[in-house]
Amino acid sequence: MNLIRLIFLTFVLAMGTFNFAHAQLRIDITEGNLDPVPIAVVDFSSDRQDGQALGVEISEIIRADLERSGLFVSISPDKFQTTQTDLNYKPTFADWRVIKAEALLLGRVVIESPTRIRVEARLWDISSGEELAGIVFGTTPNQERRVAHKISDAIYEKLTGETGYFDSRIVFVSESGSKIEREKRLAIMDQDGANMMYLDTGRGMVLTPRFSPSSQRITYLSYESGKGHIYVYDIETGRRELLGNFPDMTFAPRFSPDGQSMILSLMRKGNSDLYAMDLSSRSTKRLTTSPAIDVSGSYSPDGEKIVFNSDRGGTPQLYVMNADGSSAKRISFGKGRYNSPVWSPRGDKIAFVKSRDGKFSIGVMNIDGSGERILAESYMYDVPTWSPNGRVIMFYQETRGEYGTSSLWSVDLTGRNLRKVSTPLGASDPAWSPLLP
Amino acid sequence: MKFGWPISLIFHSLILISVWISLSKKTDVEMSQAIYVELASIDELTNIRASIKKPDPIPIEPEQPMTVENPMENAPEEGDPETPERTSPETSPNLTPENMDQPDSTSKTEEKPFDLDSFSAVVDNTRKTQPKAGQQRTLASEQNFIFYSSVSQAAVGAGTSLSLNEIDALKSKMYECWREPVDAKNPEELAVQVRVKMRSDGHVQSVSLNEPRKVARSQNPHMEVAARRAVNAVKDCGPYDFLPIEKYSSWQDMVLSFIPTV
Repeated sequence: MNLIRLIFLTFVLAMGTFNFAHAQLRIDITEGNLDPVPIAVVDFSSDRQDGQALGVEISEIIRADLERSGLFVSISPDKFQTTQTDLNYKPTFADWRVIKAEALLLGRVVIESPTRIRVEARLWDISSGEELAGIVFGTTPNQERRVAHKISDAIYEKLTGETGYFDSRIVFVSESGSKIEREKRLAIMDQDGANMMYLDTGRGMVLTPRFSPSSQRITYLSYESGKGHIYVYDIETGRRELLGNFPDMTFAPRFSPDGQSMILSLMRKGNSDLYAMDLSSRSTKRLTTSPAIDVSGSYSPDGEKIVFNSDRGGTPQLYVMNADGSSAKRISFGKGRYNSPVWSPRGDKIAFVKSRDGKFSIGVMNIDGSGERILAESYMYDVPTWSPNGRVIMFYQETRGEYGTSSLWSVDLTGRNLRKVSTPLGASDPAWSPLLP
Repeated sequence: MKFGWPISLIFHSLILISVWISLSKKTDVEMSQAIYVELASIDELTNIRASIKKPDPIPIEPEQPMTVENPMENAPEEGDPETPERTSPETSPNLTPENMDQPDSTSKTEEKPFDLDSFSAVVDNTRKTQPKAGQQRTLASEQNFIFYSSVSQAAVGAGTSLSLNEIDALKSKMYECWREPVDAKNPEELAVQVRVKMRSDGHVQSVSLNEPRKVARSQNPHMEVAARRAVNAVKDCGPYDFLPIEKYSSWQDMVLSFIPTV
């Protein structure tokens, strides 16, 4: 009898669930827009006049950062309807909804002493009226640009879910003169092009600077003495270290994710192979033994894999192998020649340069070679480098002719927002730093 | 045992002969003509809706010519000498304190005996019309809503579910407001279900995450943003006044799944 009751009860419950499921309408929304988020950044206030100037400058830097990312559109302050911008009070959300702002940043600068400022900011979600972030930084007055970049990073992270990349730097080769007599100097600047400075004396040609993913060190090839030498340069201390003399030709050294070792190509007896070098012991280990040309190694963020370029299949293609050199597997199968692969810091994509029919393009693919996508195409594109969050790719473009110039460009992972990066002279071989500490 | 193979041979021969005889008759297989029947839900193609009984028409009385009991020509005009002049309070003979304190005995009306029946009748009438304790007066629009709600609930079934066109309209509205998480890592983990309760006028009554635990437990750093964007999209996109009122029962409680492009 109890069994019958149980069965009956189960049946009734099942029918109830079925009716409920039937009554509730379920719709899948699979297409959304990719429009940038409209954000209102109010000029940071201050009790003092010098603080107000600083506040305006910080706000302008934040607006420029967010706009440049392509994921935000900064609403012009002329359109602001409200005068209530005090950080200590809740904003009047209706005033911001009128101008279709979806996020709001309020801030102020407090000058604590001639050598100390405090910058405070609050980020609001206009739709829900929720405070998304409260940000406070204490610093010296001449660090206003870094404070602004850090606030931009906080906004970016809260509104996109990814870490930002604004508080980072680019090392590159600054170029001047014609292609025949071109002077190439090592230079560094903030990611927005500000604070550019040279890192070398300009006595010899420099090539392929690469940032360590874990510190503010770079490695590069220099031809000061006529022969190529690999140097490691510590940007914080200004100390430069020669890694060693390699009697044979070397190419494109690149740090491992932990910064403790390096992968580079050495040409020995006419054959280029990949080697890993331990930076403390300076010992090298050969990773590839193929008679083909194996170059441009790049570690995955976990250090377990290496993507590299090899012509062992007849044309230059991309291969992935274990960090010890085993199990190499081809991943690129499209038409054309693939070069300069770089593993994304996020770990899910590989950027590359593809040449086909006389044109060069910057593309990305998944780590198994699927999902290939071309982001930009031109006469000459080369040397892609990832932003620290794996969201933006920077590369350089060269124009035709003897007096053709080179310039830096950036593009979003979606292929949108292709922008030229402003540099005082020509620029090539960019390398993006990790986020500054 | 020694008869085994002849018996086997005989039986096998019999089977082969019977197969030869049965298959030797050549018959043409008539291929009947296939009739293709396209299956489609009626509400996808038609706009048939639950029938709503129209309220009985209110009889309109024929318009009567306007009659004025006091024609304007009889009204006193401004500056008419017959207009009474104001009298100053000082000249009023009845406004002395003595007169005010002493009411006129002649103005007293004759006292009637208290009629309990008529008083209780008045009380009873007010009880009939007053709202019950805690009950609010219903507006005409609310009564309308109750009417349509009851009609649409009673007519749940074929014809009251949203048609494909109406669902498409809702999807394109969401396209305008939902900012899809683009190129996030592992986008297949970022599907967010949002439960939406709607008012009959198409305004959002409430919107909440259908699986808040899934969002809270997610290891994907983009999940929080994906959830917020989905909720904000529903909030910001309203009102959804294009949804048909007679199908209110089907869209008054919805679950929208926001699934990013993989």
